[in-house]
Amino acid sequence: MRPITGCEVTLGPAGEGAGVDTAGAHLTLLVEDARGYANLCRLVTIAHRGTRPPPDRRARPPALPPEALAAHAEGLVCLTGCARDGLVARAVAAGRRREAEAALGLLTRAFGPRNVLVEAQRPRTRGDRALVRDLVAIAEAHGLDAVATGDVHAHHPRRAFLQDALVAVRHRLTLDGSEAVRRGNREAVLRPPAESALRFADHPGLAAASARLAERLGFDLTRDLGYRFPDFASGHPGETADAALARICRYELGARYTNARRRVDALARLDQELALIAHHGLAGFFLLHRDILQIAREVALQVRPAGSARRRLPPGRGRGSSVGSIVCYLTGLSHIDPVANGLFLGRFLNRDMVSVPDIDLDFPRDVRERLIEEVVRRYGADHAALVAAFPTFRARMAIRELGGALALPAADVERLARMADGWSSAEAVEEELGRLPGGRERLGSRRWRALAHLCREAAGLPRHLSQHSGGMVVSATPLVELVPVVPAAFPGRQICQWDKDSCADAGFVKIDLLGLGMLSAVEECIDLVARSGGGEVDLSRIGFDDPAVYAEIQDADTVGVFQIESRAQMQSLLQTRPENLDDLTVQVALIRPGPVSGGAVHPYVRHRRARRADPGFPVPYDHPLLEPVLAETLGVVVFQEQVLEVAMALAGFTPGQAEALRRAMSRKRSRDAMLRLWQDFRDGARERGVDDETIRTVFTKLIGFSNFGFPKAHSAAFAVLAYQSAWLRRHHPAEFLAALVNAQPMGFYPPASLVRDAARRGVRTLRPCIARSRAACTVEGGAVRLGLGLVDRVGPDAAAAVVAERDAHGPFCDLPDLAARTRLRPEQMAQLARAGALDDFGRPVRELLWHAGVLARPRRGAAGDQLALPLPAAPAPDLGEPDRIERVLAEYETTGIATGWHLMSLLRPHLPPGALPADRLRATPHGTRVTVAGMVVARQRPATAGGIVFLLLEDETGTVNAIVRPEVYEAHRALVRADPLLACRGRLERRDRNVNVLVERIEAIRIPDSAGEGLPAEDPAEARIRAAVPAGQQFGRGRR
Amino acid sequence: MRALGGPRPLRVVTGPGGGPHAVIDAGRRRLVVAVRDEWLVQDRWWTDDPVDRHYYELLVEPGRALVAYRERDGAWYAHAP
Repeated sequence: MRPITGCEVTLGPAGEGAGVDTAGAHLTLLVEDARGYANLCRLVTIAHRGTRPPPDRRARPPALPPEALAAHAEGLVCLTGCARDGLVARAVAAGRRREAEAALGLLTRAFGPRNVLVEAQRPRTRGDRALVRDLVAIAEAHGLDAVATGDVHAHHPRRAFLQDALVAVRHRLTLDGSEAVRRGNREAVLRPPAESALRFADHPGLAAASARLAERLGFDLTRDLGYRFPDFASGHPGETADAALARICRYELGARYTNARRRVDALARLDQELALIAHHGLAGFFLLHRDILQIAREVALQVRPAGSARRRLPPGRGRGSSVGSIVCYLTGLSHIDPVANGLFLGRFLNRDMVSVPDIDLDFPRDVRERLIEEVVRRYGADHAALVAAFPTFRARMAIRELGGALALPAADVERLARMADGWSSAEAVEEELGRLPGGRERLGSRRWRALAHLCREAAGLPRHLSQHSGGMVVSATPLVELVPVVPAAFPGRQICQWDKDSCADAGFVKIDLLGLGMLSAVEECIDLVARSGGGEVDLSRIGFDDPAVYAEIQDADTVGVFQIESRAQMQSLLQTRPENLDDLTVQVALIRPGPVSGGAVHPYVRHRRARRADPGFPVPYDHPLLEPVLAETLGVVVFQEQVLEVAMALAGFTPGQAEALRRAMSRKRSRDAMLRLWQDFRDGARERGVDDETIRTVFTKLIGFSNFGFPKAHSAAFAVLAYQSAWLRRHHPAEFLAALVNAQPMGFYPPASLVRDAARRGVRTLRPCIARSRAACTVEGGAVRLGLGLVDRVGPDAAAAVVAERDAHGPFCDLPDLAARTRLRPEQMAQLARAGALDDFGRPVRELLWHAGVLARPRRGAAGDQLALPLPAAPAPDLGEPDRIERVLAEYETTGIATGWHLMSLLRPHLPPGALPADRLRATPHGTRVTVAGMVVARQRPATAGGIVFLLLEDETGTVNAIVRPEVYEAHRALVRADPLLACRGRLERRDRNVNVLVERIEAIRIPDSAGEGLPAEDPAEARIRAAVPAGQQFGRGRR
Repeated sequence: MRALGGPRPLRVVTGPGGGPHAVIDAGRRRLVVAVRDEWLVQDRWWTDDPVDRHYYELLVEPGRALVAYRERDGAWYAHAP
């Protein structure tokens, strides 16, 4: 099979006097040569121009204005469109002969008669035979060729069911209600040539014409794409990119390496890298990144307010393997000295590499947002775009959308969807369905069986086009001639239609501009410290040796700290007890799927413990050849490049061979490639006198590690940020908390848990307040004042407007004043009242709610705003005050953060007898049977843990780790997966400094109606409490 | 109430390709003179009454039009003209 590049386009309405109705009509455009491909990309780009109309930028279907065809017709062959919606077929079928002729005229004028072919199809629908006859006749009458095409909508008849369902989903209809838009049979699928020809037996010329056309369309996308990355323009005439890069690096090297001996090492490393860069012709690539960083510096100055302590910070930081490069260090792309830190280069740059290396840059979110716009502005909208991503159907989405199309009962569909792991494959839906109460009977029904079938078919299918987390492509030739570019949902952004793999295949240079929540938090924290009179924190001068910071890290007191805050990291910290930045660098990389499944964690912990007891402890190695490469990680493979280094040391691989091994082990494993590499590995190691047993052991560990680890360079960069965040948390806890809450969503814990943890460390959190809060959280007399923008349904924009009005015209004196001077809607005022933000008005909350409901905002008249009159409201009836539990619930429901009582302390009277608070577990002996209860802050089922589920429960005294083994999980599946309030009974396990509860039985915390005294009677306490508890980490991966 | 013009069973003599050769209507055998059109309807596969029909628009002796279809199980029906 040979692919032909082309696209079915939908036309928009034609201008006046065209004599043909083009709106919604289809054309098939096929590429003949490179010019045609460029034109097709431009046409598709044009068709998408209006797809995100303001104000809400909701996606509209693309439509190509027919006037655009003529200017971009060169190199394209135009077929007249499918049987149902084709521009010509539609008119012919309706008997509008004159319109069909006008359409052919329009196309032949645009493309030339040789490039317009009348398209005939036999989808086996009523009338298609006559339509083919009429189309052939009109083609002959106009001297045009006619061709047969297949109208293929699925590659196999089995997939036609899914095609039906997806058509219904796209039209937001059910299958039952979408007959008019579905195909009506399963014939629109790919068929063998002979079978296709048979279908056109009445007109044998059609199939032959198709074959001739296919011969003519010789364009090959893999060969004919002409990408160049932006030319480098030196300020020095005649200077090559290589020379410019060398000049810049040598100049910086002199400034950064003042120690003569270090400078010699650095120079040697620089020369080695520059030679590799020249060998691969990549100097322009590095200079392009340097230019982008320069743009970032300018953007950062715009984004960071004048006088802000943030202005002195670099605009962003490198991450990933590029941090190991001295050229990146000297050009400002990385902030870690690769010579001083002994960072390995081969993973980033080596002589044998075939693709362009990756440079990833992290920015605070505000800088990144502006930077993306600015890069598009500088290079031009036709030359730069974000890389696309194609989210695929996962179980939950597949169940919801396909269940809706099948018109299954919404509540049942939702129940099934919630049971499915957020990240589990849609292939397992049938299994999930069988587990549901009544599931077996359901599988007896055709509709439910259809759901299982459709979900299985949809698994892994791209669902929509979205934006990659930060990749941009920049091109010297117009990007819109290489790949179609479409507007993004986010204003000012545009996305190219290829994902990162396709961009890499095309040889595009991808620049990764990533937003990192923790960088935003750290920067804001520094600002808050300066503003609250704590002086200027200079992160480059805080050192990395504060014993108080390490004491907290070693005690796993790290909630909110970058990278080392998760449940698994905490458990590990208690055992590894990092003492310096090098230890932290290992720590960041250790709790990753690679080292975990490569069996590195336990030996590393063991060797560290032995080293603590005896500094002279000799670390055991699988083979003495491995000592030089594994010494820093005590004999185990922790970093990604150690896979390469081990292969080089043990089997004599070249860096290129070793990199090939790493790639082969990545997700897209190729058995053949692995087998060849294994043979090379074995032969190489044998030559070096390594015995077969050791060779196999080491290779198995490398395979176990696979690709799922960090390079050391990346870990080093992240360890610095981990330390800095731990330092800020230790020394400026209130500012750090405020900044963390403002940077949400990020990290492992919901804001409620961050606030709870800070409270344990003496930081008070105050409710939002209409008189004192800003839109975001601030620090007020050592306590954190929640921002008005945190209040659900108010949001940052409305909050900022309220604060601006207060700053301009003074405080609000009461609710009518607030209503008159702002644009807050009644429900927003009610939310503020419930959050406690209006307590300053001195009226009971329920009275405020009453008034918020009856106050009408001044209407906007034609002549502008009506006079803002404070409106006297009707007197409120006697409504009483909500009790404590109502208050806590109201806080959860408005800001998600309880500032006073912890829900668990209010529920404690209702817990099973003997339930222990979290802080009592530390003093409970190993093996004791205990009951613990709390809000579920995190539930995880790591792929590396053999089906074990880890629950992190929080109560008013701290957190408890609960371990749920597979058999217990199966028995309590629904509870473990979805219930936010759990009581667990089990055995206390004490291992080293870790305390866990090995769960034997799980129950939901039952709340009697009496607990909700003071809650409105129509609102049962139980359901409302469960709904209000903040959602924790849910099986999924962490947020950035 | 009763739907008008619903399908009624039809006896069909099929030719070598499985297509209709003659129909037996009201006890009389009528030869198929021409197949004017034929199409497939495959729908409602998600319900308890899936539809999978091969339709023919026929011209039968002595010049009468007839729309008939064959179910997946081989049974033939005619739509009332």
